[in-house]
Parts: sequence; structure tokens; C-alpha cells
Amino acid sequence: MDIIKIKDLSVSYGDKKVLNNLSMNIEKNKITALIGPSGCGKSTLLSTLNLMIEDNGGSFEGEILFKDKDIRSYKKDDIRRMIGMVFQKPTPFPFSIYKNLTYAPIYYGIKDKNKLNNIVESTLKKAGLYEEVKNDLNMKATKLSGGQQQRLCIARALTVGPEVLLLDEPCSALDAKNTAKIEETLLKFSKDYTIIIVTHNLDQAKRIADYTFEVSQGTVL
Amino acid sequence: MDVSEKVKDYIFKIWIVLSTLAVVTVVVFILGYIFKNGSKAINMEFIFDNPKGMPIGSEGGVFPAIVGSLFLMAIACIFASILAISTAIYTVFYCKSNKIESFIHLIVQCMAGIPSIVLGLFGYTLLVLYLRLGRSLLSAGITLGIMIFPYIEVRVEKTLREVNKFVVDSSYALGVSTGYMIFKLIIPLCRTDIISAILLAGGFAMGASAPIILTGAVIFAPIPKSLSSPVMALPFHLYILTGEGISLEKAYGTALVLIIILLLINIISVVLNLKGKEYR
Amino acid sequence: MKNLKENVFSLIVKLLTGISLLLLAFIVIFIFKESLVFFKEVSIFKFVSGRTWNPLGSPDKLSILPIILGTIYVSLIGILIALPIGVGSAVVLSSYTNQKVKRVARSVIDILAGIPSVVYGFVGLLVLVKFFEVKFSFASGESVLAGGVLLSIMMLPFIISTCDESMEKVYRDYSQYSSALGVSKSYMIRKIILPQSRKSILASIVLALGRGMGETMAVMMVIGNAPIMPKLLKKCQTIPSLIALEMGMAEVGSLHYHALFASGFVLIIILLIINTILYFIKKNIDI
Repeated sequence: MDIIKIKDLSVSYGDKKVLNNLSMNIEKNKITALIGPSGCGKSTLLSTLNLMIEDNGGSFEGEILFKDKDIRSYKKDDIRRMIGMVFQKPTPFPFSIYKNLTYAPIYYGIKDKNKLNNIVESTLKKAGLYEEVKNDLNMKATKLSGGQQQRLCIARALTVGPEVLLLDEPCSALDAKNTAKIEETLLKFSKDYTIIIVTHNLDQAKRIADYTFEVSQGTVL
Repeated sequence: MDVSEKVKDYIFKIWIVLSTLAVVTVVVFILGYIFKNGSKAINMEFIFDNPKGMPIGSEGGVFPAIVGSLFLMAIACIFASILAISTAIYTVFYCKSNKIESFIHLIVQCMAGIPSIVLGLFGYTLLVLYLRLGRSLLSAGITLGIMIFPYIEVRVEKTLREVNKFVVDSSYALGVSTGYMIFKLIIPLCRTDIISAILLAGGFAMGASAPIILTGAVIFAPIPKSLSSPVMALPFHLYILTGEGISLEKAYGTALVLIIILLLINIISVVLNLKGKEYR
Repeated sequence: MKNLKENVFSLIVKLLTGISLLLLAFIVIFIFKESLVFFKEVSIFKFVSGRTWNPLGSPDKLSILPIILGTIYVSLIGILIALPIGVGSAVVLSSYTNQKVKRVARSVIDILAGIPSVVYGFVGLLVLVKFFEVKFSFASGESVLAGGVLLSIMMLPFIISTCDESMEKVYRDYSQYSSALGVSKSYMIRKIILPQSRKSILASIVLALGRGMGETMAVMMVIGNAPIMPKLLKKCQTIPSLIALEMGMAEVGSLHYHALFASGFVLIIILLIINTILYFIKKNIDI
């Protein structure tokens, strides 16, 4: 089943058109990789999918269907809950690991201590970080290594229970060992989540992706 | 969001909206009040004439006070800049030890924390009495200079540090001495920012009354003929007009003149800042 | 030849720097020396705990406890009013406005900060004091409250600009990560920006308190200058106003004269204590 269907999408920042009449479908619970030269709109495509493009001053035209409904018919916050994003630079919030992971759930009204603990534990396990930090959950997240921080960001994105996870070159700031760890993590939970990953690295795409699209000159090849 | 978060959110939003409204109201009110009431008193005569009338100041103008204030600002700026720029140059380009640098920063910060009236006391005892300079332009100017020294130092230091490290390193790589580099390269680059900082500090000096009450400002004096003559100054004049209940109208006028001069200084300083950015 | 020029230059620079630093020592030593003359006559303990200030009486009547309390009281009121308003406005300025509005607002705040204190006192006298007299029928509007309110207006620009600077940085660092989670801006401000701003809020308190307690002219014009124990709606006196008012009439070398120096010295000590306390609080927040 295609969870996201894009038809004739054009995205622009002011006068500058970044994506032109792009069409593609994303299959549910598979890993889709977007590759292509820099600056050709891969990140822009991602930020359109979670509607952050508008926060950044851009606009889009065309049709995007999420679960067969027009993406604009959903509320922005709901979209972000269902479509999560992990950025290139690992940026944990300036508090403890535990607080990083309960930040969003508390906003959504989850107050029960047990539920919160469960969320923390399960997302850390999914991100492959639990064993390394389970005794130090109150440690400041910034004390973690780069690779651990990025896995924390993945766990954080999972705390709201999204169905789709967008990853924008998540390994570009990491070394080979950490990159391997993250790829392993993604492969492990890919059955439960639809993953769209932007990457520079053709080999990475080959290693983990079920589908690969090349985005070049504003459109898909 | 659930209910208790929603309540907290609501209270938060009310708080920030009220705060902003309060600030905006205050600003509009103060500026409007002074402009409205002061503009009635201002005319050519007010600006260029000497104070007259009985008691003095109830009629006439504030010319000597304007001139006095400008002179005070000039002396203060000269005195303070020499010391402040040197200190900044030393800290940025000559100081090798972190400890000494922190020490200097501490001292400068402490100086900024000394209440202006205490500086006035110091100036009175040291300059007016011990050094026998008497209540004069020089005593008051130096006292003001001490007051603005930290402000100039901090700003100039910041400007010097912001010079692109590559520029500095390239200069060292050419084997040029530090002093030469500072004179020929750094200062010209930072010139407008430094002048802007000095101007702003000068504005601050011009508005201060406490340091000059004891060291040079008097109720009435002609335009100062030398460094040793006493001066009139706008802020002090305003204080006398109000405190002695001499003339409300002239007081408004004095306040407005003072604010306009300060605004002009501010605008010039901002313009200089913008010009400076063009060159980088 | 080039070497000589460089040596002369660096020597001059070092010399001038040394002089600047010595200035501080000079000032402190001077004030201390002149105060010491007073403390030889009247013990410092009596000075700060006695309740009567009457320079025309016998030496025993030179005590500044009410004046110390007045100084602290007025500044405290100022901070209590200015802090919530200042922080709230800083939040709006840093996180809810666009670049154009920010530039205008920051310039306006700079203007506010640049208004001389004597002008504030002037407006305070004509507006604030009169307001208290008219609206609330006080016999005299000159009071601790008037001084506190006026000081709070003068403290606002410092609090706003200190907090705004750091809040903007935090906002830029984290806003996109937070909004990707679908969380509202106000939630992010409450949970991330405000806690992270604790240090700069504290710094702004130090700045504002320092300014408030050293403030002379504005306060002097609206508090009534009565060296009595301070009550919110009654007149009071602060150390800076005391010095400014009485220095001119104290005979040079008299006990009164040295007592004023002693007051200045006490003021510096109080400021030092406050700065130290807040320095340690700041350290603890980091850990």
C-alpha cells in the first residue's frame, strides 16, 4: 500500500523553484532512499512532507496524499505527529536523556509516570541506545557522543508514535562505526515504520533501501 | 494538548502579552510626554540665549548649558578613549596570559559597577580638593571619563576581537610587528565602530549628573573659557530648574533639548555602525 | 629602527593599561581612607545599625540603617516589578517577532536605556508623584513606591536586552527540532527557552540591582529624602541621594563629610555582597 502519493508537486522558496512537477509514491513500511546531487531538492522534499516548508518561507503546489487524504486537510501538528523527522545535525535538547524523550509526550497530555517510562524505554530500545544509557537516564543528553546523540534524536522522533520517519542525511556527521549502528537500527524497525531517508551515499542506499529514487534537477528520475 | 497544559499555556500567553503592552505603553508615554510638553518651550531664543530672569533660568535660554555639556562630553571622551583603547589593544593583542586577561575583565567590570555618585565623591576629593583643580571643566570631565571608561573598553575590545582571525594571522605571517599591524590594518578596519562606541559612551556621559554635581557643574556660568572654569550642564540645569521650582516650562524645554541631542548622537552612531559594516 | 618603534608602542600601551587598572585601586583606596577617618570616631557597627541621621547633632547621631534599608527597599520594588515584565517582553521580542520589528524594538529599547536619569526623575516627579497624590490622595506622593516604580522603568531596558539576546540564540538553536515534533511554540518556550535563560535572567538581575542601588538623580527626585525607616507609602532616603544632597553642605574635613564617605563605602560593600551571592548562585545553576 502506498502511504504517501505525490503528484505534480512543485515547491518554491519565493521566486526560486526547487522542485518541479515531481511525482512519486512511497510504499508503507519500507525503506525508501532519496539520492542525488546536492541542492537538488531532496531536503526540500522532506520538509514539504511534514509541512515545515511553510515555516521556512516556502510554498508548494500539487497533490500530496497521505493515507489517501490530501495532506492539507490534516492539522499541521497532527501531521508532525504522524510524520516524524530526524535532522542532519544531532541536536538533543539541553536537558537529560529522560526529559528529551518525555518532552513531546507530556505536551500531548501523557502524565502517568509508568506510561512515560514505557515510552522512554521502548523508543530507546528501538533506536538501539537503551543498553548503553539505561543506568544514566538523568544524564545531560549533550554529554553523549555524536553517534549516541543522533540515536537519541531518532528515539525522540519515535516518542510521538509516528507512522512515517523522515531522515535527512542522518549519518553525514558521523563516522563509519556509528553510521553502521544507525543503519542497523533502521533495518531493525523498518517493518513497523515507513522510512524515507535522504542520503549522499549510494552505498548506504544500496545497503538498506527497498526502493531508491534519484532526485535531480527538481524531479525524480 | 491536555487540560493542565492548556491552562499553563494560557497563563503564559496572558503574561507575555501584558508585559509587552506595559513596555510599549511606558515607552510611548514617556517619549510623548516630553516631546509634547517640551516643544512648547523650544525656540531659537531658548537654544542660543543665556539664562536670564530672577531667579536665574526662569527666562532666557540654555546656550551655556548646551556648550558646557558638549565640552564635558569631549573631555570625558578624550580621557576615557585613551585609556580604554589602550587597555583593549593590550588585552586583545599583547596579553599572553588568560589569568591576566580575566583579571583585567574583572577590574573593568568592577569599575562599571561603581555608582556614579561615588565617582563624584572621588573626583571631588582627588581632583577638586587634593589636586587643587577646583570645580572645573577638567575635574568634571575627568570624573565623567572614569565613568564611561568601562563602556568604551568593553565595546572596543569586542570590535577588535571581531576582526577576522585570518586577517590577523596573515599579517603575522608576513613578519610585521604587532604595533604596525594595529595602526595600519586593525584600526582603519575598526575605525567607525570605535568612533561609534566612543560617541555612545559620550552620550551617556552627557546625561549624567551625579559625577558633575560636586566637580564642576554650577547653577550659572558663562561659556567656559578654559579647562579650569566651572560649567553649566544640561542635566544639572534641569535638576536645578525642577528642584528649586524655578520654571516648569523651561524645565520641559531643557529636558527636550537634552534628549534631542542624545538622540542625534545615537543616530550618528548607528549610521556609523551601518557604514562600518559595509566595509566588511 | 622598526624594533624601536614597536617597543615604544607596546610600552605605551602597557603603561596606559596599567594606569587604567590602577584607577580602580585608587578609587577604592581613596574612599576607604576617607571613610576610615570617620570609623575611628564612630564604630562601623553603630554606623550601620543605628537609626538616626542628624548631621547637625552630636556625632552619635550619624547612623544610616534606615538609609541602607531605604536603598535596598526601593531597588527591590524596582526589580519585583521590572523582572516579570522584562522577561515576558524579552520572550515576545526574541521568539514572536520578525526581523523588522526586532530592529525597531531594539532601537527603542536602546533609546529608553539612554534617557538620562535626571529626565526620568523629572518625569517621575511630575507624573508619578502627582498621580499618587491625586488618585490616592496621599499627602505627598513622594515615597518608596514612587522610587520603586520609577526604578523599574529604568531597569526594564537592561533586563529586556540581556534576556532577549540569549533567548534568541536558544530559539534559533532548537526551534526546528521542536516544531518537527508537532509541539507548539509556547510549549517550547516554556520547556526549553525559559529554563535555559536562567543564567541570563540572573545576570540581568545583577545588572539591574547594581544600577538601581547606585542610581542617584531619578530616585532622589521622587522619594522625599527623609532619613526615616522606609515604609512603602512613606518617604525614605537612599545612600546615593544622601551623598548627592549633603555633600555640598558638609564642611570639608568635618565628621559629617567623612560620614558621607563612609556611606559610600557601605554602599560599595553592599553591592559587592550582592554580586558575590549572585555569582555563587550562577555557579550552582550550571552544576
